[in-house]
Amino acid sequence: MKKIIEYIKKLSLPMKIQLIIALICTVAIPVSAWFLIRDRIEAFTKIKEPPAINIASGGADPALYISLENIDVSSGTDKYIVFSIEPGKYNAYDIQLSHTTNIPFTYRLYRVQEDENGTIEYIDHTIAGGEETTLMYSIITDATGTTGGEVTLTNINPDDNSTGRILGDESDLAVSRRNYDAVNDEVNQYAKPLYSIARNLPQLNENEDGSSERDYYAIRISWIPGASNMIESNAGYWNYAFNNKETDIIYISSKYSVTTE
Amino acid sequence: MNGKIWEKLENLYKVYQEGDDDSKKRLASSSISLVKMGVLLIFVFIIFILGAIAWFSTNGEVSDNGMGILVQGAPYTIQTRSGSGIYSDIYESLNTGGMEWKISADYNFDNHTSAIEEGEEEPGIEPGDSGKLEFRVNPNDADSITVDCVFDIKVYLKTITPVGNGETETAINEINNSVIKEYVKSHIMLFSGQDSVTHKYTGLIGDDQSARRVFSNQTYTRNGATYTTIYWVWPKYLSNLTSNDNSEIIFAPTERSAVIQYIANNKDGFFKDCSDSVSKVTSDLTSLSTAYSNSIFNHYNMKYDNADLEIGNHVSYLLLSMKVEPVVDSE
Repeated sequence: MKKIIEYIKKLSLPMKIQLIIALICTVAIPVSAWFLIRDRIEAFTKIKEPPAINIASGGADPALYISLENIDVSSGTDKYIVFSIEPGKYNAYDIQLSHTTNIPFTYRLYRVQEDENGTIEYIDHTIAGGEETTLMYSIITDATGTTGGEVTLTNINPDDNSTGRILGDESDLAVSRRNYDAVNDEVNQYAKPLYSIARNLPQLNENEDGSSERDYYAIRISWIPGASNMIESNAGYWNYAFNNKETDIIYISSKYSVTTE
Repeated sequence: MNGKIWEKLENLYKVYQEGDDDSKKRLASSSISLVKMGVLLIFVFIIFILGAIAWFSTNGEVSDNGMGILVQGAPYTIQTRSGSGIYSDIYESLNTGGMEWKISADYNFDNHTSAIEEGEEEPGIEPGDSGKLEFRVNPNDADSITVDCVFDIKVYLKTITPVGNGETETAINEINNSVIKEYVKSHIMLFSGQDSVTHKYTGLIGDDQSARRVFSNQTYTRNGATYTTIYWVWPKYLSNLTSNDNSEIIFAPTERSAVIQYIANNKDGFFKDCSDSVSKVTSDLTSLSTAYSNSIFNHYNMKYDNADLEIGNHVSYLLLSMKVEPVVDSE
């Protein structure tokens, strides 16, 4: 003990101060911890991520690559646009299409899968180190809830008064459909959208860990090509597709299915 | 001692008046020592006063001020169940200084292993979940103790940062954003009772004057067997709280009006971007409970759901703490 006291006496002033601070800390910290431990109980848990349904493009591409560009109605009668749904933890969801009815297109929805021998082409942008690859898809003909792979889309606001095409109810709009070059024919004249919905589509690809893979879909856009000698006054002229109209907008939206309890 | 000092002072004065140069030098040195002594005395006096004040104040009130508890010895022990939560490792790593609220299969915070056995990947809470927790307070020396139970919420965010080579680093940090904290505090509601038949909640644990959630004046006897049950619920829809429909979770009209008042007082926690006044929210929600209106309901329910979404998007973990404060007898 004496030795210790002598040793402390020999220490310089700063070292003595350090020693005192060290001693105070040693005593104070355990005391405060002891007090807290008895004072409070705490329950700790996780907050789950909100479930989300994402819409994406084909392959592993994000939604950015969904594209309706370059449809040439003078060659062929249809074109498939591939997109996908990431249903997250929901096992059923609704898809709603809403589109303007400027061009006489018919929209159908199919469930598709990646298939080397398929006929639906999709240019993938993210696979193979940034190089674009062509992926092939085919219709899943035996998919549950479909008719030979076609998902039944129910029109929400159809106006069947006109012949041929199904159009959104647009009684407040001009009925005669013409091209932009005609007098008083505005670009957005036929832009009132037609809504159609498919409900309760089951999630097809569930991973073993419960997460879901993408469910792929293709929108089939089809048309009846018009003959070059047709003129506006021909009956049903506007049921035929010409390359002189270019603006239609299609919205794809998806949400989880609300099951009736 | 005082007499001596006075003599010394008189001496000094004489020297100052009559002394030669030599004695004036001595005067200088002795006045320095006098000043030193005076300073020391004042210092001792200050310490004495401080000590006395501290002694008075610690004895005068026994509070959560650590000193008071230490003087008396711990007056109580908080007792819980025996099981650890599945996230207890993460909890321990946070070093909050608290004690883990132990759980069981029936009493937990959706953090019991039974949830995993039932097939949940990562159990946790989400809107629509509810459950119960229990605890009791045991007085260590007295025969009984009356305490206030003060509840608080802390929220944490888990971030995963890539550090190269496909490796990632996980960090869990407390969220100090008061807006997010308010959302969580409001949406995780606490009740002290639930009807055993109808499962409707009673006894909302609301705020005291300092916006703390306090379950006050709970009395426990020594080594008693009674545990206190706390019911937590994260209502999925606003209508769960406001509607008078028999299927909802609050049914008694008095309970509902207390809940509505609580929602209105905490409108910035219950609703995202709610600019309506407290009285407007109160009257709107009260009108909903008797006559449903689509427009009023949607106005608030949208904000309620948005707040839920904010929680889900920004919070990874939640910590509900309960602090016990002995109630001092007013007698």
